[in-house]
Order: sequence, then C-alpha cells, then structure tokens
Amino acid sequence: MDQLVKTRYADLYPEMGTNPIPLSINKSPDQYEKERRLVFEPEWHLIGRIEQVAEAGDYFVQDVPTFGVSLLIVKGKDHKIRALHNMCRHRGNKVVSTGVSSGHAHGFSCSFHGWTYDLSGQLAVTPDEDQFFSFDRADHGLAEVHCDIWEGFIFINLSKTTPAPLLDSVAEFADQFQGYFKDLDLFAHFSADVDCNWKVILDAFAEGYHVPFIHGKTLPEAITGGNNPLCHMQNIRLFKRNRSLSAMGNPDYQPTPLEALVGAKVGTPIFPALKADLDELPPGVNPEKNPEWGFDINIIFPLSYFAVWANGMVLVYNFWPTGVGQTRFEVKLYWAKPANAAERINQEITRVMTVSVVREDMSSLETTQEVYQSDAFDHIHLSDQEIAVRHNYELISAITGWPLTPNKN
Amino acid sequence: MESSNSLPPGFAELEPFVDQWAISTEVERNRVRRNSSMEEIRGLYKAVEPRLSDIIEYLNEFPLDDMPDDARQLLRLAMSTMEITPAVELYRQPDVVHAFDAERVEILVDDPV
Repeated sequence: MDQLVKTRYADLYPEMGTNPIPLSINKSPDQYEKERRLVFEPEWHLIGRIEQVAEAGDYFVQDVPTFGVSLLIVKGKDHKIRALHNMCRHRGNKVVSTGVSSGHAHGFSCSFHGWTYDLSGQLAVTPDEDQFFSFDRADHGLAEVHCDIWEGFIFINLSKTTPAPLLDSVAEFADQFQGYFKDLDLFAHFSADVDCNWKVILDAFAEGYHVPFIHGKTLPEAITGGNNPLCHMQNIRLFKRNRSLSAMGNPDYQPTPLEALVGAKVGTPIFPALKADLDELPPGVNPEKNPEWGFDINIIFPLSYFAVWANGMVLVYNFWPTGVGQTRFEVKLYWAKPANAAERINQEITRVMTVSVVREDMSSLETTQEVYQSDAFDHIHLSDQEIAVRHNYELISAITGWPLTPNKN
Repeated sequence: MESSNSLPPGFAELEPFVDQWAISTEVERNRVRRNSSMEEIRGLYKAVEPRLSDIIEYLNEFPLDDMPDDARQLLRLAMSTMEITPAVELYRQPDVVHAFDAERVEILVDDPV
C-alpha cells in the first residue's frame, strides 16, 4: 500500500480551509427550514434501480417523509418508468396500501370507492360516474412527479417547477460509470427514524477515520489492517457539489472461519483483495485502479449516496430529513441475484455483516445530536481525512448563507 | 418435536436444531438470535460448522425457488447459521456489541426462503 496518497487533501482543496465547524448549523430550526426550501426541495433524489420495475406493471412504493409523500414508481405499458403520487384523486386514500412495498399490477384500484387507474396513472374507471358534475376522467389521473434515470438509477424530484436536468445533479459522475451497473437485485432494504440532523448521519458515512474504532469488533482487519491501520482513504474527490471517497481492502485479511468457508464456495467473499482486470473498470469505479481496492462511496448532492464494493455489491442510502433533529435513514442493498444456494448463503452472511456495520455507524448519531443540542461546545474540529464532511458544510453554508464562523449564530 | 425426517438423509444429526432455527425470514432469524443464549447459539454453530460444506454442496443441486421441503429446511438452518456467525466469531454475545437498537430498524424487504 505504498501508493497511499501522502498529500494532504487540504493542500489539494485549499478553498476548503481548516477552520472549526460551528454546531449551530445542525440545531437551528430556521436553518432547517432554509435547507428544506433551498437544498432538499429543488434537487433530485436517488430512490432505486430500474431492475425493481423490470416488466410493464412492476411497481414499488417509495415514501419520502421529508415532503410527507408516498410515491408509486411504476413501469407503464409504454415501458416508461413514472413516479406518481400514491394518492387517489377522489378523496385522497392511498391507491397502494401502507405495508405493501412492491408488486406487479395491471392497474391500481383505490379500496375506498373503487377509482381505478392504469399503469401510466390515467383514471380508467370511476364507479357511478354520472353522479359527478362536469366530470372528465382525463383531469383526474394520479399526479405525476419528475422522474429520470441515470445509469439504471431512478431519481425523483419534488420541486413544483421544472427542475434542472438530472445530469446537472449527477454532474462530474455523469460519464464515469458507463455500463458498469447491471443486473442488480434489491436483496435487503431497511430504514430507521433517527433523532439527529441529516448532516450528522451523512457525516458518519463521509470518512474512514471512525472505522478502526466504531467497527473495531466487526471489521477488525478487513479494511484497516496491514499498512493502513487508520483507514486512510486512497482517494477523496471533492467536486462542485458532489464528492467521492475510495477505500482500500486489506489483502492480508484473514476471514473468520465461516466467512472463509462460504466465500470459498462462491469466489466472491465479503472483503476481497481485487484480482479482476482493473482496466475493465470505468473511471468512476476504484478511481486509483488499486488492486487492493475495497469500496467507493459516492455522494450526490444533497441527500443521495451510492457505494460500490469490490465484490459487486451496491448500496444506496437515503438521508431523509424530517425535522431539524430527525432523519429517516434508509438503506438498500443490491447484488446479482443468487444463482444457487452457495450464492444465497454468501449473500446472507454479507447482509448480516453489512447490517451489523450500519447499526454500528448509527450508534453514535443520537448521542452526537444530543450533545450538539446542549451548549457544551459550539464547534467541532475535523481532520484532513474528514475533508468530505467539511465539503458538505461549506456547500450548505454557501447555499443557505449560514456563516461557518465559530461563535456566531 | 417432529420426529425424524424433516431434513434430507445424511443430515440427521442437525435434526435437534430444526425447531428453534429452521426459520424462513431475516426478521425472525435476527429476533431469535437476539433472544437466544450463547449456549444455544454456540450449539448451532458447532453442529453446522463441520457440515456447512456438505450442506452447500447438497443444496446447490436444487433451484433456489423450487427446493424439496427437506432441503428447504436445511437451507433455513444454514441461513440461521449465517445470522449467528458474528455472535460466535466476533462478539461472544448474541447481538452486535455497541449498535443502534435492532428493534428500531424496520425491515422493508424480507424474501422468505
């Protein structure tokens, strides 16, 4: 691992500075309202993969608690993927009930009065239609939300006006992953309501400094061993609004006995030292083309995160702010659909380990927010390895006008 | 307890673990793990570990979505073993040592096996 970058990121990105970050930005209700209006509402949010709606009639439900809406993502007979408000245009009941997360349908029928919509959201059947007044079904389809696709990832946008194109949001990532993502099956999906500001969660996933400590029991050697005991990133890229981090795996990692046994059966253990042909990876994946690559984290402004693991697994995170001190954190895991029992069992130990790691990541969030709420300290210090955390604060500060100067509220 | 042949021939010594650990969903496997003693958890690990290679070879002969009932029970035992593996190999206690409360995590996709 001699090729580990020795440069200070602060020198690569001098505009980031090195000042402490004031905590008030994570606890001010006024600031939260500003962020909601200027940061969350105009932007695109990554919510899933095209494989989740492979066939016409396939659908899934995506709740977006930041805006208090439930969306229906559905592939129409015209093979277009649409995002529709999951809300009957008659009296507002959900057309797909709470508790149903995905399925296959020929149309959507509201359980309240039987209004039925086709796969494009058009109102097809209104029982006892003569009893309505100057009624035209064409005026009463399910309301459509901006929806677009990049590299097979489905994004939605809830702004009331025409948003900037998705490609402007993906920006520097746009042509970095061409053709890489395919046949990704959603195999695990979970969420939790966490009592902390959305930035506190995002911060927890934007650096590797925490790994040897908070994950000391679960990942004792896998990505921190060898010559990189403190989990320095091999590459951190700060773009205009997006950012990415690339982490190495430890080629000398000795898996636990059952990890090793199951991994040997399928050839893609949880933490591989990558032997694949590095030249086949597109520029955005393992940007250093390091044979000891572990995984990459890519954060698309403002609330979307996708990670790419050397073993082929892809993770999508959503940080849905629901209040100045509340966030719904949502995790989706994708991988090739298992072809046999060995792959299914390997997927399961990988899922169990991933959930363990994520629950560890989440363990510090609420206590952190609790301390931020107190007046014990008014600022925090970030290391050079935490420059991606700083990048987010600089960005939010610039957009909302919140001064990043300690001792000012 | 159900007698004899709920598992395929050749795996009879795992029969005592079927009632507690042949579980189809991840939610339930995790709940049982967190509510079991380390003695029970180690019991499953010690019984399955030397046979896991045989189990995988045996199950690989069947399509995942069309397994005979006895093979499916065996797959469920293997899945529970994956669930409890970190408890034995890493934590020496049933749940992750320092982690966000599992009861507060809502599982939204849980394909039964």
